[in-house]
Amino acid sequence: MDAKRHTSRQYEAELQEVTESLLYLATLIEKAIAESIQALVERDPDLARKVIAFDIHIDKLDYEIEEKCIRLLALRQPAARDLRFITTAIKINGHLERIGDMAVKICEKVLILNEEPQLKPYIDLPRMAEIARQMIRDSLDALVHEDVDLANKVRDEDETVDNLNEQIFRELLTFMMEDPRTIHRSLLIMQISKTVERISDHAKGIADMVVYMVTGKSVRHQ
Amino acid sequence: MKSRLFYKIFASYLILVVLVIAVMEFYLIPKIHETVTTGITEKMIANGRIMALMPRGDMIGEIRELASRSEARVTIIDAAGKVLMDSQSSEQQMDTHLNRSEIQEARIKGQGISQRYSRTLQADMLYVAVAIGDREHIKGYVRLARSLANVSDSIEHIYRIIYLTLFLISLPSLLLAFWFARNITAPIRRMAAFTGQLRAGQRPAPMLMDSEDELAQLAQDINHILEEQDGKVRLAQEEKSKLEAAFASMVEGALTLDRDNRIDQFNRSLRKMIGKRYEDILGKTPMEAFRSVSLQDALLRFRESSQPVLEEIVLGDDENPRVLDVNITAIQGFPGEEPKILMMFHNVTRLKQLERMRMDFVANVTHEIRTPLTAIIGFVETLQQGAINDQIQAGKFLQTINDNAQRLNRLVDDLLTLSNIELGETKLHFTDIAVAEVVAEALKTIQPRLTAKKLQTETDIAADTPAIRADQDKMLQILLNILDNAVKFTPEEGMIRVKAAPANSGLVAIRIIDTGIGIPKNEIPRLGERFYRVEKTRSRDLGGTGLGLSIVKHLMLAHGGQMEIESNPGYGTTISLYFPSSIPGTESLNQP
Repeated sequence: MDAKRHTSRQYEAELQEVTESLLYLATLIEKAIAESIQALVERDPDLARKVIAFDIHIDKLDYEIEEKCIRLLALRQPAARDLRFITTAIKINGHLERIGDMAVKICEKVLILNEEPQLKPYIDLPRMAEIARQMIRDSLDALVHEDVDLANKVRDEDETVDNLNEQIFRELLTFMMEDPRTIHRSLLIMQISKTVERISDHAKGIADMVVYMVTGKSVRHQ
Repeated sequence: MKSRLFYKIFASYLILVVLVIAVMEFYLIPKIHETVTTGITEKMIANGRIMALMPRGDMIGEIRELASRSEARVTIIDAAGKVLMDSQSSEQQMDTHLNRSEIQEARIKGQGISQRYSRTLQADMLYVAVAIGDREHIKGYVRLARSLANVSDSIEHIYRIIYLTLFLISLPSLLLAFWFARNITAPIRRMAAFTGQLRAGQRPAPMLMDSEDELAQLAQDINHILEEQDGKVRLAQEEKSKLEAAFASMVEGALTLDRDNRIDQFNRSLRKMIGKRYEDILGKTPMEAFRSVSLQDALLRFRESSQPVLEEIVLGDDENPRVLDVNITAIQGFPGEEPKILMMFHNVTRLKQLERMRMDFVANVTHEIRTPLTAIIGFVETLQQGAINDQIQAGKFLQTINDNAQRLNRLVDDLLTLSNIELGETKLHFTDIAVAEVVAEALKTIQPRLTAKKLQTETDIAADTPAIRADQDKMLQILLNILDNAVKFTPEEGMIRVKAAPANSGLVAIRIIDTGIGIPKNEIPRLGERFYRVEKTRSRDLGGTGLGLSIVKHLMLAHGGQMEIESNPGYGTTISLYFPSSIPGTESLNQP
């Protein structure tokens, strides 16, 4: 929003506040993802429980952002660009909240996994999670800088994560075929992998919204 | 273009002149007209009275005589209005004059005046009538008429004189006004041009005024103020550039926020700390630029308390974290303005690392020492409690005690070696060593363990590999430590390759490549730390002291070489050792 300053400073500040809150929420969620994977790799149940407990704060923030957006819609009756921004913010907020829930889901699986011996060292999964985390960061950066190129980069990245997910799936399949005792653990890891894959889908959704906000064109179903 | 001030002064003079003319036109001239007309009228009335007093009998004749000699027209009218005589017209043609206003007036007051346009003579006429006889018995009227045409002429003549005079007065006075206005405005215009140049950012030469009036004083004052201003500006500039230089070259990152919470100033150190482009920081809010929740919280705390806030924030990802100490303070601007916010960032990543290494070291050292000690104490106690009598058991226990004592001994040896290397107390005896020989010796030493794990080895020493300058024993220790790790972390039936080849800048590269479990990328930088273990439990089970790579790292440094580690988790690790070669000619330089 650099080029076009609004005449009302108050209005300007309110719009900025929405951006700030989204960034704040996104940063917390990035941390939740990183920590859930850390809990998995380091077999740290305390960390997993911490992430699960922290979700209340994320939900609260999500609610606050939605309130702010609705207030803006009702009181300021934004038009054109600002309207697009606020609708985008509402959607991004939704995506972020879902991602937050997924971090919790991963942690729940981690708690179960930790009760059994480690199946194999995790290599692709942390990499995948790191890519998904970076996608969230980049998509929010794209929002701040209104950078369509960066948003498109995020959208392309989704495929890398999909491929990694499939690779993990195939690998675990071999484990399960070799030794039926690994089936339970393999399935849990698969679910985690699938969850990470869905996190990246949500990150892509955020990037889609950024492209829509900047260009006014919807790219969601391309 | 003349200045507005000129027009103002000139216009006021012009208005003054016009006002004088207007007063004449509207007051003086009508007054003159009135005075002249009144004089004529009075004269005519006097004449009329004289005529009215003439003896009756030859009145008409006498009056006709008088009238012919004067320019006035004389009419005699009887009481009934019948014209008895008229000096300019035939009496018979004239109708009754009783209804004329001057006659009516004379009938009541004894005399009457009227001024009107005469159709007969086609001119403005002044009529004066005087009654004959006393008021009760009016016998008739004498009426005198006079054209006002020549009166108007004379009045016009006066007008012309007046207008000429006015013109003669106004012309020089306007010229005077013009000159005066110009003279006053000229220096003011010069001043305006001067200040205009100042405003445009130019610096004109000081103003010089040739007069000595208030304007000259003003010009002098302006010159003086400017001179003082110059001094102050220069001083401020110097201060500013000093501050800017300090700000820019500070090791600490610094930024200031404007009152919209946007970054309006920052230095290079800060940009390096965040690792973003210039335009991605300027004008952004701290949240946008840093993406740090703890920073945002600290900022909020500062805004609420207005007390300086100190906070530690972590930027970057897990692989490359940057720990920054942030100090948030207010900087007071001009009085009444909202204070700006200054944030200072101090990079404490290195300090944090050292702190963690120290803490890890203490924790590790105690752990490493306690483990064998616990075993020793445990078995000694068992022996004391009677196991000493059981020959077979006692032998086993003593063996275990010996093993653990040996392990303690190894640990202390390693620690000593390491501290000696670090303190520089280890004397290195440099000789020329053939790489192939020392590699062969190392492999021979470790052969039993290779066989036990069914590991294959492969040696590939390039033919042009020069001899290296190293301490024979330490060189062997380096190779053994690395090969030991390779053996430990390579699963059975794996492969260990040793390659050697010349590298850049007179170095020889020796690479030990295994097909082991590998090392995650983010652990690699910490491998040289004492007791650092990638997986906390496993390598200890394998019997290491946790000091092997530490020793290698420091020995390599002591040799003037270096160690590089590359790894692909799940596929293997490559450790590259770069030794200085002993190329003839450089030898004498290195060894005096």
